[in-house]
Amino acid sequence: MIYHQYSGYQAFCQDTDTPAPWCSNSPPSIYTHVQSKYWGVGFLKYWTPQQLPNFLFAAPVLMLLSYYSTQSVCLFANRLFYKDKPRGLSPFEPQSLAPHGIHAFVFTSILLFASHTQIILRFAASLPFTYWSAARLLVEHPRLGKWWVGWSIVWGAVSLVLWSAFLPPA
Amino acid sequence: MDVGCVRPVGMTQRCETHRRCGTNWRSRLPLSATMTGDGLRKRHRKQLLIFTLASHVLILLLLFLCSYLPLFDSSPWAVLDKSTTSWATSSLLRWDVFHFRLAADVRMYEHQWAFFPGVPTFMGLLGRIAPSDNWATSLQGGVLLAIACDCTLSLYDLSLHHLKSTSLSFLSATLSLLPSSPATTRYAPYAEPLFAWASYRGDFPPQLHFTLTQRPPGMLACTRSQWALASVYFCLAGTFRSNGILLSGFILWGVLVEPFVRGRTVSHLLYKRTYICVYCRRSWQLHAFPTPLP
Repeated sequence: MIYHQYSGYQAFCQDTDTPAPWCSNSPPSIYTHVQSKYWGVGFLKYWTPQQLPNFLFAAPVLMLLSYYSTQSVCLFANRLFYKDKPRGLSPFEPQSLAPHGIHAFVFTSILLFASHTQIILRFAASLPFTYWSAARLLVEHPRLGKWWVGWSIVWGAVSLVLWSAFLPPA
Repeated sequence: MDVGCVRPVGMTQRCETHRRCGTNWRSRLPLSATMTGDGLRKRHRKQLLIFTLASHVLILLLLFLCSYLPLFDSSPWAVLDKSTTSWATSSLLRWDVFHFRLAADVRMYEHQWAFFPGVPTFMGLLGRIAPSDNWATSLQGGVLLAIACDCTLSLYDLSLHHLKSTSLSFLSATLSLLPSSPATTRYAPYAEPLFAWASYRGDFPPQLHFTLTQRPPGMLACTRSQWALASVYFCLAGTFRSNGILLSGFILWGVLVEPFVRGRTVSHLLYKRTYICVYCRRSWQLHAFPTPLP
């Protein structure tokens, strides 16, 4: 990751007569620069009426992760600050899941407020918390869980058709 | 999905008798959960392997049917030979795959630095196998790599560690076979499957722990600390996606936060680990450089 930044700095700031404007930033990160300039990434920059369909595409994953990750963070905070004893009832609430919950919360917040929100459809697979949340939904709220399974099958098939025809979401 | 009835592995008798256990999740777990132990886990792994293969076949089948659809953007045919390229190869070349493949050759423009070097490096190496048709070769090689990095079984193992339930672990792993973006996570040479693989492997200290305890003690325990190996996996994940940096939180958690939360002081833990390392190093020195006889 650092080498990637350094190679960009070397190419556009050191090995050239006219350094790029971002070279004087602190830190001089080419990644931050290109994400902002070419992909329009920034806090609430994606929150425009034109992007509403992308938010709707991502809504099921966003809602699932937001709900359960917030719950996980709150549970951990209660245990830490109010010394709540672990209830030991749900297998989805062990202490060891706390870092996953916090990670998912931070991740979802970044994608919701400062990214192309629909990419959560791709990134969610790298979070095991997504599937633990889906399993929890299926066990604790079977009707909603069945909706999740149905949506996953239908959206999965639709996204493959869109991919094949080179249509968004990317 | 029908789920049936029994408590997960490791639940105590006290909890068994608790009134909320009976009304919440306990009554909805599969009957197969009664079969605890290695046999059940082996059966689950076998089933997950079959499901994984089936999901890849289904994805391929659907993409084959969709290959008859007109392309919204015909740019894949600007770089691929239409007469010799199969539908399976041409349907790989979408969206970020273009950027990855171009970055594999040379990075000339600023916007190419938005793509981390992991996937382009692999594609570049694979493209060198058949220089005459390196676009097709790197695409096909990328797919094989993505399929080889399937995370279903890793997720099952990880779930067993955290959820302590074979049935819930199996359910979670099965649900992961229905991803929200099957093309990018289970088919195309994208960063996602590789990033997920490295992330899952990195956050799986129990397996590493078992490996360590099964080997003879000594320098191995010092040089192959579980956090060190997790760091390697997370660094690898960081070469695929920028958000790999967030994974470092898992290491910080394990080394600093968790001991604090559990009431153990960090200094005590560090002291213990330092003592083990110093002891191991001394033993190794004595073994490697024995004191010469007078």
